[in-house]
Amino acid sequence: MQAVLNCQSLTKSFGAKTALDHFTAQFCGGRITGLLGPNGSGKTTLIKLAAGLLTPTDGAVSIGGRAPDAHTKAHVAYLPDRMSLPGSLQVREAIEFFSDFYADFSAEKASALLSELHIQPGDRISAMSKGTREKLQLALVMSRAAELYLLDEPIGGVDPAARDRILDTIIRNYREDAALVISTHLIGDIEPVLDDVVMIQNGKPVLTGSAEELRETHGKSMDALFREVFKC
Amino acid sequence: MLKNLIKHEFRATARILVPLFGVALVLSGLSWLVVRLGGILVLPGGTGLGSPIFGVVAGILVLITVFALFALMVSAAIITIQRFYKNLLGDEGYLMFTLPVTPGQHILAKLVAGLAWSAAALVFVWSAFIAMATAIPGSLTLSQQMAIIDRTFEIPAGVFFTRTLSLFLIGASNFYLLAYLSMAIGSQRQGSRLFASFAAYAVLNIILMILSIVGIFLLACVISMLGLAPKLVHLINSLSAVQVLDLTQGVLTCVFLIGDAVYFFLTRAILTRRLNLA
Amino acid sequence: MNWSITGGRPVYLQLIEQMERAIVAGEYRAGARLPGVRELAAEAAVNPNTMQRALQELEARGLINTQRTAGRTVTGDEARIAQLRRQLALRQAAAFLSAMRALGYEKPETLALLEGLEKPEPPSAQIPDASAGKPGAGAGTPDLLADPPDASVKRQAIPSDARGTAETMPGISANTPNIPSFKTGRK
Repeated sequence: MQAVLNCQSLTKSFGAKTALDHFTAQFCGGRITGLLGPNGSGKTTLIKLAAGLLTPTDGAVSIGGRAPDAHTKAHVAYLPDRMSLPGSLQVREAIEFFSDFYADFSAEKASALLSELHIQPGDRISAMSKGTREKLQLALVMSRAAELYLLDEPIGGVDPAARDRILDTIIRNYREDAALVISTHLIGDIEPVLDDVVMIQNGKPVLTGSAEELRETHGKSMDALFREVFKC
Repeated sequence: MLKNLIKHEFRATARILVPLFGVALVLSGLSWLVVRLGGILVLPGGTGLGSPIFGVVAGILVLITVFALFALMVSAAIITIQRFYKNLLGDEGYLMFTLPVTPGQHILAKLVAGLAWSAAALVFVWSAFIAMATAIPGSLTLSQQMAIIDRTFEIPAGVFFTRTLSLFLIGASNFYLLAYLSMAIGSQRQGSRLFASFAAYAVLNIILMILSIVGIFLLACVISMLGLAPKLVHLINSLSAVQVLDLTQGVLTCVFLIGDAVYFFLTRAILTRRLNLA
Repeated sequence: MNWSITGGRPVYLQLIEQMERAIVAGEYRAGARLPGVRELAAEAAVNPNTMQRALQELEARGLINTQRTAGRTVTGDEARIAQLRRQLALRQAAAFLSAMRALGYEKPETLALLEGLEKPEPPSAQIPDASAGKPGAGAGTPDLLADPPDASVKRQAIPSDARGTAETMPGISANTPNIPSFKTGRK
């Protein structure tokens, strides 16, 4: 299967600190990959490199064979680990913004999704709670029919009920043949959703493979395996 | 894509600037009215229009209006610069830099919007002043004022304003692009980015000053070495007022444009290769 | 439909099990249309590929039909579902017997115990709520697995090869077909 996202010996250093260390991995279309690791392991750095927000110190990252640029960004749906929408916008203006810039964005889908989440078109982002803002951002990202979805900690920092809702939204809405990369440290919730797993520590991949095979080989759940691998 | 960027730029900045224009308009209108009606009515007791007290009140109003107009110009600049910082280098940068748009397009969009607002502000201020000037009873009419400009600068008033406006815009673009570059450099630091941006701005200005001094000095050396001084003096003396104006404008425009290009390409390089969002 | 997917076991196996139970229980009626793969996967909070795999296996087992335009439906074959019901029941029974054996109750003892349970008492205030954790338990049926609160009734460790009739079983011998409330002790 052709890899949508390809990382070859990808390295990123910030001064003396190496956040990603010769990281090599492929992420294929039609598969959901969990990027699992503790805080500071390099998950966000990897995602930012793929999203084109950082440039590699060494090695290469490519999307569909291209280095991240304006062309790849048109096909990559990125959910940051923070709120990035301008607070002064109303929901309908945010939808218009996405429609203007992304050809693969469906405003109808977004509106439907948002009304399910009880978010009104006239709501102003600055007046929303943190959880609602995150749901809005997720809804907008998942309304895109992208080739690669990069979701940075979509369920971190939200209550369990919201987590269920978020996972539900993700599963229902991603484009079928797209590659989905979800970074998280909450393994238990996400484990049944994953096709593949990449466990990362100190910027290096420590365990990769299909979730099913890893469970069989090690005879334990991803959650238990994670605890074992990342024992402090 | 660029059009969309510019459209959203205007939307975002209009939120704050349109009300400011509104306030300036109201104040200007009031001032105009007050000045216009100045000599019409005098009430018993020495109050009313045309009395000294009224004159003081009118004077204060005009002063406030002038202040507001000045503030309008300054606000346009501040908003433009702050917009770049907040929208591209803050959390919103996570949204903006993952759009299918190049960093160069981001810079251009913000610059275009900024220049548009600055131009609007300048034209507004000019209009306000001219209107006030004609409001004073017994002063020159509009056509009379324009005629004065015609005679002084030996070009039609319309042309004068257009050329002044374009020179202003080129100078403004120079100012904005230098600010953008400073902020891009400042963003390279992990903490106290705002402080780093100001520091970068100061340093860049110092560098520019040094370059200018050195440049002029070198030019003078070259001129004297080549014995061109007498020829130059003769040339300048033979120029008319208009030609001096043209020459000045031409030289300034060239210098500013070169600066614009340098700042733009440097800023773009930083945002492409060394993007460092908080 | 309440899905309960846990880690440690292959997800698609759990999905198959739970769907089979749902079909037998009538949650998905014979001949009824099933929701799409995505929908089911989202409900169960699992990967659509995994759900697809489970559905394909169920189709291979003849429990689901896929039509090009109409999507997936539960089989209309009542006999097949009855067969599945029996299969699951047998499996459940075997598991039960095995669990009882681990407690030292061989098949005869187990049967006797079950015999004694035939007529469930109307619920009294004394009978502890027994239905937690025991599928199909009616209200008023004492929890077989709970220790009797009456301390004098000691459950001795019974060697697994011991054979006995109901009369010789400690704790059971005093039981009459009318099940006494454990809390009030034996008659």
